[in-house]
Amino acid sequence: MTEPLLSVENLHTHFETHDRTVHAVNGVSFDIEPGEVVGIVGESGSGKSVTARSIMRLEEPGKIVDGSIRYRGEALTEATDETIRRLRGQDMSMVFQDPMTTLNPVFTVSEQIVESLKVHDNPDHQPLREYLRIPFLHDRTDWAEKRDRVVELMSEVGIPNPEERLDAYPHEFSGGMRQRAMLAIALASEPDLLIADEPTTALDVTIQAQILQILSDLRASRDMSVMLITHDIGVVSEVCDRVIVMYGGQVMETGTTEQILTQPRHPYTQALLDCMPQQTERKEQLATIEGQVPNQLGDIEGCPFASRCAYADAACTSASMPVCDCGDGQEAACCALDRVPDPTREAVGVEGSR
Amino acid sequence: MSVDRSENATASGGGAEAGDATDAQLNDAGSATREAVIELDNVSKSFAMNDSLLDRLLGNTTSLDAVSNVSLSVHRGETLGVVGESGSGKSTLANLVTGLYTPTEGVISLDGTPVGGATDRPADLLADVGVVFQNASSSINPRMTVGDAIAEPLITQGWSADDCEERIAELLELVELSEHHLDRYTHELSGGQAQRVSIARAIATEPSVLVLDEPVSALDVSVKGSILNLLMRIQDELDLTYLLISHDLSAVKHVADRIAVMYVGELMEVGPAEELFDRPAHPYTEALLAAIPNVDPSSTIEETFVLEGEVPSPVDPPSGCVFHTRCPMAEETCRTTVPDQIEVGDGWSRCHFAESVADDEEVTDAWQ
Amino acid sequence: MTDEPTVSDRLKSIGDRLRSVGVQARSKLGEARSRLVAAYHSRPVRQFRSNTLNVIGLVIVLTLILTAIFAPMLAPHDPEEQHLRDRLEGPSAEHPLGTDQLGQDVLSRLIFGARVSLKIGVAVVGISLAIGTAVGVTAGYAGGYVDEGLMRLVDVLLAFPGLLLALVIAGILGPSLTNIMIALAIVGWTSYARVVRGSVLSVKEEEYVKASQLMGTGRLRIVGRHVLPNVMGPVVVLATLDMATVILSTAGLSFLGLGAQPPTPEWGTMISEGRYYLRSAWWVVNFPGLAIMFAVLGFNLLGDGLRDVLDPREEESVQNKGL
Repeated sequence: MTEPLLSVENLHTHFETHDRTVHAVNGVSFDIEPGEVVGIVGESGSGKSVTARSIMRLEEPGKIVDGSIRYRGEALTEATDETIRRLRGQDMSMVFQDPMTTLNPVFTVSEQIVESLKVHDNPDHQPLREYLRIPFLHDRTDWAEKRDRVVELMSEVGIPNPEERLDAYPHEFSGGMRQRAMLAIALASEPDLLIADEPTTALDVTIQAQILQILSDLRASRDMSVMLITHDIGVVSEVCDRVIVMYGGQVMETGTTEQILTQPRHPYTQALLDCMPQQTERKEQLATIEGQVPNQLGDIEGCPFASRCAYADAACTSASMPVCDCGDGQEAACCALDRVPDPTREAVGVEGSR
Repeated sequence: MSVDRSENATASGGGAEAGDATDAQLNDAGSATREAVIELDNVSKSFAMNDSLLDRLLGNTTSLDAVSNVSLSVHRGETLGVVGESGSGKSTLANLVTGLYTPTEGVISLDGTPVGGATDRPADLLADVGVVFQNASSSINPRMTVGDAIAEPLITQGWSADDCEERIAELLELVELSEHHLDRYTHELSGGQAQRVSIARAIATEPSVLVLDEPVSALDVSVKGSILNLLMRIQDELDLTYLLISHDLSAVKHVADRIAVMYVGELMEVGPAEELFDRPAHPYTEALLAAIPNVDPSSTIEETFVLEGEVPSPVDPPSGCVFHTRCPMAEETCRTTVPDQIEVGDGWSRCHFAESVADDEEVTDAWQ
Repeated sequence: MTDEPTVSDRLKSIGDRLRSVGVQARSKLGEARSRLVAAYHSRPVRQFRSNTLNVIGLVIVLTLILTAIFAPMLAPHDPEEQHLRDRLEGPSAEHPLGTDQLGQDVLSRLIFGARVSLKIGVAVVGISLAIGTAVGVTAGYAGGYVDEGLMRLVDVLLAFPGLLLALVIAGILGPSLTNIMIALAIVGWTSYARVVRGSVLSVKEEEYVKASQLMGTGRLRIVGRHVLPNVMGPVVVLATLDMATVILSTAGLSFLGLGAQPPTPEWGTMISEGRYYLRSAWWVVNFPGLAIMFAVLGFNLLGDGLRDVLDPREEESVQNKGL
């Protein structure tokens, strides 16, 4: 591979509250190769969503204070609004967590997909009159032409009987259907990179499985890269090639899904996996991580996980963490890897759920 | 006394039928004595829909059956997990038990006494059922300190100030919080700490039953475990009976003795937790279990069985078996006839093919 | 026999007691001081301070209140003392803001005018708030027919143009300050009732109210402990903003001759009486006008500031934004 599709380096995104600064993303670096599905895992406050929004340049009200984001070599941090708009319309799309609020209730779902198609065709020409439903003034002949394409997209994301649903408004769709519609809107611009920010968190498990299956099919049929943000390691293991584990605004560990799940090297990844109820016998005490997520106010010295880490010593709270190569592309940001047990343990699956 | 008035509670004969009961099952049977603390007898709850005035005048009212014909009993000292997707009626069930709703039909009994809604219940019965909601930050008044919040049920029960103070100290220790949390507000606490406060409030009046409505769903993985640990510990120490409502199957599996699976307001399957997970006797249970994201890296979503379609609307539930619209095994009988409860092992399932579903081989065939 | 304490003993015990009182007082003082410092650095206060406009609003309102309280000490002259020989004199050392057509000192009248305006403002807002909150809570919490009935009454009252209705009422009752208060309160409580009812309806559905119902807590207690504290935020903001409206309305009604009668030092009356001399003696009209403007501005700024601060979950929402 010559050049990564997306390259994030030393990204710092801060939020100014009225008298303090929240360091939401604090020196994050990673690459996404073409056609790769990368999972970003972290608990709330880990900075995973802010990272995603920074890439789409939707970081407001936060501010990117340092670092670079390169998409096919083009620096997004310095790009003009116009470039960003073009990229959003043609190269990168994003799907958000809550399908209840991300669709505009006053337009039909198909209109919103058409809008995305039109933006993709011609990002610099979007006459307002097309959106206003004023007789004689608005001319939508080319909207009608897009009909077939909309039906195609809707069936691609698994919306049953798309022809009948062309005139449906978002409130007539269930949560799962709306998330599919969001996906269709995102795909209309034929993105090379799809950023999905907790796309299944608000959905039921059976619907979640459907959406994940569609994501996985799409990736195969469209050869696009997907950045999947989630708090659920299980979701990651179902669809991702590579996993980035985040904590306290920093990357803790990266590796292939298999490496992260079966031989995690970073103490945080290990602790996180141990927390899964599946890892403990029924009715036994579950493993937990003591302490609290750091509040990320002001500068953070050393490793953000140090206060909760079982292997931490004085060195962990003073210097910044070195990124250690653990072989085969697996990397962990930890200064005490020699103290941390190296699990060449067997994969432990969910018992009972075959 | 009332020995399972409803047939559908777990096999009343106990060990008799479960000849080959595993150790775990015996343990379950041992920890849960047969005395029913909560008993639901054919309980239904329907809500009137917002019909137009004209419809109302003409009598064309529609209603939503959030819970229909549920019979269930929870035994002393056990944890009954209720699982299901949104719209399955599991939260309505919790609200019926706590008394926020009154059943449209059927009878709910606590300790053998039929009870109505919370406003009709005597004070000692109210004190006997504690509730923990999903989100501590919304179930505790944001303008109340932790101390005030925990004291509230005690004051309502007429405790004196001194007794209150003593009890609060005791409760704080029980939920592993310290004195300095007393003057804090919930928005100053972390999610886990706030949930501890709401647990302390729920057990303040020494209830025998705790209704847990998605107690860990809003929490991070690392905190979830500590709250579940706490819940298991105080259940042992205080001899509590839990009704645990959750969509998080792995959490339910970990703490529940028995599990009830709900779908569109009806019970699909009820059985001992281990058995239900190992040998589900209802195709819906099967599908639900298959959909849990797996931490096994060798599993991929392509290979997972994925249930098609969506949960039907409870306003107009399907005829026959409510699951037939999505069930890969559905046959003509499923569309027309409501299945009976068929006893399988220590539990029961409401599927025409319960026996064969429980038999693994055939089911897996059906999925493929 | 020697049980009688000697004089020196007594003196000593008194000294001890005094000293302990002193120590206590000092520690109390220290405590109060540290509490004040803590309050100054607490989140709501910090947030309030962070916006200069809020502080300006607070300063104006505090100035107004202090002026009203200490009016007799601050005013250089008796506000109703007439010096017909010194009519319509321009600003001078003797009369910093000049004199009016009756030779009364404008500055003194302004200072005493603050008293009148604040008195009416506090009274009208207080009465409106009490009635409005009671009606709003009753309607919102009881629901059903009670709600319907009370809210239709509010609708009917709101169907009349507010100031016009006040004008009619004041006209019927006869011109006096008390009658203006009554008129404005009759018109004013409805908006409180609406705001309170709306908040009660949403707070009533909160989980903590349900939790409390499940504990068996009585209705009144739930209203007092859970509902009222959580609806008072918007009401306090509304009351502050309403102070401005009431001050303005009072001035307006007085200008029309329905409120304070001369020689009562009231800002509206002052403008009304002085308007004939606008061209020859600008100070008679303009200074009361400025006073009204600053008072209204002050209360509006303060109200806006309070609105931003009065939600305890504000901090959380800022933190969760995008995290």
